[in-house]
Amino acid sequence: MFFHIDPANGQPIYSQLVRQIKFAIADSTLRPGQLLPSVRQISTDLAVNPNTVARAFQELQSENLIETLRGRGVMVTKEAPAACRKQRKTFIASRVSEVLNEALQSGMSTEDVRQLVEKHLK
Amino acid sequence: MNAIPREMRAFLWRDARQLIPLVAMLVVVTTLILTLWLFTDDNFDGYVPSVWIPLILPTLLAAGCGAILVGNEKETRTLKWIASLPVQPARVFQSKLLVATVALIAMWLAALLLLVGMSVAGSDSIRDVASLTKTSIPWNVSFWVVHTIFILVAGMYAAWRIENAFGSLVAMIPIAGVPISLATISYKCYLIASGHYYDQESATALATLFTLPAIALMVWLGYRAAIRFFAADPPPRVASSANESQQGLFSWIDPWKPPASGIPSAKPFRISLATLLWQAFHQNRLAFIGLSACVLLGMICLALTATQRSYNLVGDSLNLFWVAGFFALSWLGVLSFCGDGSAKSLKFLADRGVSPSTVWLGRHLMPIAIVSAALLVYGLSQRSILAGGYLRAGPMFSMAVITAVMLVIYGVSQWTSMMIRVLGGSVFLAPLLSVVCIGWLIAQWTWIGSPVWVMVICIALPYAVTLMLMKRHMDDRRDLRFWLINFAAIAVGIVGLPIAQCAYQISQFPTISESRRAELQSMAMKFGTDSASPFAIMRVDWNENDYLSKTWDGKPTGQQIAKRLDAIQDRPQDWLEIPSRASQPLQFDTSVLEASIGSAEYYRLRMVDDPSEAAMEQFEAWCEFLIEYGQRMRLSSRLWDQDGADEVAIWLTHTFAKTEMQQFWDRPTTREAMQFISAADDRNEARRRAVLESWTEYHDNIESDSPSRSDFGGYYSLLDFQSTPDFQRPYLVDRRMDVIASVAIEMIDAAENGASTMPMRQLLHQVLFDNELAFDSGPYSDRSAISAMSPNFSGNPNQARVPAVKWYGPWEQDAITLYRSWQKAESTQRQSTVPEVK
Amino acid sequence: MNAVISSEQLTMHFRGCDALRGVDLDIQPGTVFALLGENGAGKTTLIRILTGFQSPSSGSCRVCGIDPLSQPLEIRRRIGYVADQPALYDWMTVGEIGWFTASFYSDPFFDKYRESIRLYEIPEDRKIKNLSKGQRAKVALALALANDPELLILDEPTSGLDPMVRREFLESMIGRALSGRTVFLSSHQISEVERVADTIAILHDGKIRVCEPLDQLKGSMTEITISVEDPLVATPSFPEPAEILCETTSGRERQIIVKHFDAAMIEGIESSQSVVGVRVRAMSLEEIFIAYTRGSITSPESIVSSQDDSLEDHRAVETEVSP
Repeated sequence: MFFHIDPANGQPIYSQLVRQIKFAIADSTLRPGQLLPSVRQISTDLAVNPNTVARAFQELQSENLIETLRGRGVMVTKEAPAACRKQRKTFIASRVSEVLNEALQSGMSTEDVRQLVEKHLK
Repeated sequence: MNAIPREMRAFLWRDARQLIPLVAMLVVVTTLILTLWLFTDDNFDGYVPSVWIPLILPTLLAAGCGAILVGNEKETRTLKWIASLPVQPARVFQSKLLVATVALIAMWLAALLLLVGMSVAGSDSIRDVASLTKTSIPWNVSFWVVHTIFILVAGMYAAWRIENAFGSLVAMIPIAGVPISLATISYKCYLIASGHYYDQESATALATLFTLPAIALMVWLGYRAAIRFFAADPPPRVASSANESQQGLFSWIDPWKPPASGIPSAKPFRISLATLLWQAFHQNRLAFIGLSACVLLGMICLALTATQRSYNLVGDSLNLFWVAGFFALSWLGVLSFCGDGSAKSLKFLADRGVSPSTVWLGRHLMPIAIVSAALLVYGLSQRSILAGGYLRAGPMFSMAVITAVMLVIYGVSQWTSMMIRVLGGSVFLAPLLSVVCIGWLIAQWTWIGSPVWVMVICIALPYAVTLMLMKRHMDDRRDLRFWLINFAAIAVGIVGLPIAQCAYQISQFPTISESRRAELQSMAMKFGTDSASPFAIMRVDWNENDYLSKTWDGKPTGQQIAKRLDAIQDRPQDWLEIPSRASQPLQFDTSVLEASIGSAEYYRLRMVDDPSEAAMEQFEAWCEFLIEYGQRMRLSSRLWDQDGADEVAIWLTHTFAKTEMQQFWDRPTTREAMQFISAADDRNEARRRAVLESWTEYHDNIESDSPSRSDFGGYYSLLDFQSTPDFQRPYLVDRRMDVIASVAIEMIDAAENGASTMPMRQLLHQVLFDNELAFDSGPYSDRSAISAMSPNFSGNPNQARVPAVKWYGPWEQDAITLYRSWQKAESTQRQSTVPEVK
Repeated sequence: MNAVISSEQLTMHFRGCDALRGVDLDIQPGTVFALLGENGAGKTTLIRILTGFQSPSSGSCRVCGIDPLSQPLEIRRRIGYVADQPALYDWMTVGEIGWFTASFYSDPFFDKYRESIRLYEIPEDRKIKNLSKGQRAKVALALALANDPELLILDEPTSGLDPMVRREFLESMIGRALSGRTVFLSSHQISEVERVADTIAILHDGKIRVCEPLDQLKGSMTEITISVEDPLVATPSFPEPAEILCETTSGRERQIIVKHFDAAMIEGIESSQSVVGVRVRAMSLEEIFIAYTRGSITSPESIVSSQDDSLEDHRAVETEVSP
C-alpha cells in the first residue's frame, strides 16, 4: 500500500504513519493476517529514518494491532479492524468538534451550524 | 612494479598523467625553434649559441614542474580532496618528486641526443659543447645539469609553500639565483683577498659545489612544506592586546579615513571600460604593482647601461635589473589572461553580455599604460644622460626600437597566455617566445630585409589575434577554429608574410626570360668553348737575372753597381716576361699597364724633346709592346681583359691625338696604333665573345661548385651586394650575372646599329647598384664617360669595378676621328710624295 | 555506548570573528545526526575540526574514539566525507578516479564503487569534467561510501542538485542507518532533514542552542496565536514548565512560541485578561529553526530570567507594526 507523509505539517512522522496504517486497517485495505511491508522497505520508499518507522511499528504493536512473526515480518492481528474502526470514530469526532468550535467562534449561530450540517447529511 | 605499493602506483600514474601535457608542449616548442634554427643556421651560427636550444627542454621542465604538479592541483583544490582520503603526505610528496626527476632525466637524455644530432648535422655545436666544459658559469653544461635539478626542487618547494600560483613561480627566480650569487660573491671575495686571477673553471666548480647541498636543503624544505600543507591548519593567533594598543596609537586618524564601504554604490563608473579596468587592477593588485615597478626600474637601468662599460660590478647589476624588467614585462602580458582565476572572471563577464572588445581593452589598457610610462621614463633618462654630459660607453637604443621591442614582448606574452592557459607553462614560455620573436624581427630587419610595414604587421598581429579570439576565450570555447586561427596567424602572419615579401622583393629583381637565355646560350655555342685561358704577365724575377745575379768579387763599389745597372736596357722584355706565342691571350694587370704606360710616356717625352732615332726606337719599343699587349688582351675570353684592351686604346688615342705627335704620324708604329684603335668591329666581336664566354664559364663554375672561381669574367666585385639583405644575395647573384650578360650583348648590338646605349646602361646600373647610388653619380652615367680628348684626362689607366663602363664612351668617337684625320694626313702625304706622272 | 563523535568546549577564533564559542557534542552510533545553522554559523568549521583539517583554538574532540589532530590518517580511513562541490580530478574518468581512490583502501573498495556507479547509471568511461553537477555529487558519494565507513559526514552535499539526486543521497543515508552506521549531516534542506534525522542540533552564534531527538524537539515546540482586545496588554504568563522563546505582535494578534507547552494550559490562557481567542499550532522544523536563529533568542537562560521582568522587555524583544 501507499503511504504519504508530510514532514512539515507539525505532526510527527511516526504518528502520521500510525494513523495511516490504522485507517488502512479500518477500511480493510490491510486485512488481518496480511503482512505489512518491512521497516527497511517503508523507510526506503518514503525516504524516512528507519527508527521512525520502527517507532510507528512499536506503537502499533503496543496497541496490539500488529504482531511480529519471527523471520517473516509484521502481521495485522485479528482484533485490529474493530479497534481501528473505533479509533477512527474517535478521531473523526474530535475533528468534527474542532470544526464546530471554529464555526461557533467565528460567529455563526447554533441554528446556522445545524442547518449546515443537515444540508451536508442529505 | 609489484614491489611498489598500490597507493604509490596510483600517485605515480596521476602525476605522470598531469605532467604529459607540459612535456608535449616543450617538445613542440623545441621542435618549432629547431626548425627556425635550421632555417637560419648558416647565417646565425655565431650569434645565437645554438647549443642552448636543446637545453630548453630540461630547463623549462625543471621550471614548470612545480607549477604543474603542485600549483595546479592547489588551484583546482584536488589536493585538498586528496587530503580528505587516508593518504600519507610523505607519499604524495615522494611521488611528485620522483615523477619530476624521471621527467628531468628523460629531458636531459633528449637534449643530449639533440646535441649529438645537431653536431652531426654539421653545426659547430659539438665544438661548443667541448668548449662549454671550460667556459664560464652559464655555459657550462655539467653545471647546468646540477642547476636544473636545483631549479626543479626549488620550484616544487615554492609551489608547496606559497599559496598563490603566480607568486610561487615568480619566487622561484630569486631562489634559483641564490647558489650562483653566493658562489660568485664568495669567489670574488676570495680573489680580492688572495689576489689571484679569475679562473673560469674554478668559478664554475665552486658554483657547482654550492648547488649540491642547496639541492638537499630544498628537498628537505619541500618535504616539510608538503607535510605542513596536509596537516591541520593551526588556529590564527589573535594578539588582541597588541591590536588594541595599535588602535589607540592611530585612533586620531579614524575620523579622516574614508568610509570602509564594501560594495560600491549604485554605479561607480559611468563607462563600463572604467569598471573593467578597476576590476583588472584589483584582481591582482600585488602582482600588478610589483611587476610594473620592475618594468619601470628596468627601463631606467637600461638607459643607464649606456654609461657603463660592462664587466664591472655596477654594469652587471644594471644588466640584472633590466633583464628582470624584461621578465616583468613578459609576465605582465601573461597576467592579462592567466592571472589568478582570470578565466573564471572572464566567464563572469561573458555571462553578463559584456562585449569582448571592451573586455579586451580593459585587460590591456593598464599594462599598455605602464609600457607608455616606462617609455617616457626611458626617454627622460636618455635625455638626461645625453644632455647631462655623462660618459657614454655603450649603445643607446632609439625610442622606436625600444617601443617596438616592448610591444613585441607584451604582445607575444599575452598571446601565449591566451593559448596556453596552464600558468606553469605560459610563465616560462612567454619570455622564451618573446626572445625568439625579437630575434626573428632582428633577422627580418638585417637579414631578410623586410620593409617597415611588414615588421609593423608582425608586431601588431598578436594583439589582433587575441582581439579576434576574445569572444571564444571568454566563452571558453577552445575548439578547432580557435586553434586554427592561432596557427594560421603564426604561419601566415609571423613566418609567412616576411618570407613572402622577401620572395616578392627577389622576384622584382631584373632577370632574363628563358628564351633570351637560350638565345645567349646558342650565341655562346658559336664561339666554341675551348679558348685558351689568358696568361698573366709576370715581372722578371731579378734574382735569376744575369745582370744582377752574377756574383761580385768582393764588395762592389757604387760605381760598379751603377755601371751594371746602366747596362740594363730599358725595354719591355727586360722587365716583363711575356708569353711568346702571339695567339696567347694575356690578362689585364693594372700595375703592369700603369708601369708600361709610365715608361712609354717617359720615352715619348724624351722623343718629343729630341726626336732622334734612338729616342724614337725606345719609345716605339714600349709603344709596340703596349699595342701587342692590347691586341692580346682582346683575344682573351675574360671581360676584364677587354677592359684592359680598351685602356690601351684610350691611351693610344689620347697620346696620338696630341699635336706634338703629328710629326711621328708617318712612323709604322703609329700605323699599327691607328689600326688598333680603329678596329671597332674587332672590338665589338671581342667584347661579344668575352661576354658570352665569361657568362658560360660563370655558370659552369656554379654547377661544378668549385669555390675558387667566384668571379664573372675577372670581376670579383660583381658578387658583392652592398645594401641587399644577406638572405636575398644567393638568389640575386645568378640573376645579376644573367642580366649583365644579356644587357652587354644588347649594348653591343645597339652600338653597332647606332642606337643609344642609355637604356642598357641604366639597366646595368640598376642591377649592380640598385638604389644605393643615383644613376648620374654612378659609373654608367654620361658624366663618368671617358673622353680621350678631354683636357682633364690624366692618361693613367683606371680599373673599373664593374664591366662595360668604358664601352662606347666618347673616346671611341675620338678614336674614329683621330683615325680619319690620320688617314687623311697620310693620303695627302702619299699624294704629295708620289711623283707626278707627266 | 561509546559516542561516535564527542567534543568538549570546542572554540575557534578567526581574525575578526568567533566561529565557535564552546561547542559540546555527544553523538551516539547508529543515528542520523543533523546539524542546522545559518550560513556562516560555523558548521563547516566544526566539520573541519572533526576531520582533522583545522586545529581548534581551544577544546578537544574525539571521533570514533580517536583524536583527529594526532591521528588524521586513521580518522580518514574510518569516515567517509562528502563536501559541497567536491574537487575531483577533472581529467580522470569515472572509472579511473575509482581505481585511484581504491588504492588507499582495502580491496573490496573498487568493486563496491563500481557497483554504486552502475546503480547510479553513470558511464564509467566518461571524464569527470563532462559530468553534470548531480552526477559529480553521486560519484563523490560513491567514493565516500565504498569503504563502508563507520561515520559518514555530509557537508551540504545536495545544494543546487535536482530532487532525484537528493533522493539518492537520502536513500544512501537511510541505508547507512539501516546498517547501523552513523551519519552526520549538515544541510539546509530542512524538509529532507525532517524526514531522515534522528537527532537535531542547531548551531547559532557559535554555540549549540538545542540538541535533541527530532520528535522530542518538534513535540516540545508550539506556536500559539492569541487575539487580544487591547494590543498593549501584556502577554499572559505561562505556568511551568512552559517557556516563552519569542513573541511577535501584529495588530490585535500576538504570536508566541512556547517550549514544553501543554494542551491543558489553553484554558488558563483563554481566561487571561483581554484574551479573546487562542489558536495552537504545532511547528515545523523550519519554523523551529527560524525561531532559534532569528537573533531574538540569545540564550534560553536569559529568556527564563526575563520572564518576571517588566513588560518592556517582552515588547522590546521584537515588535512588528502592521501596515
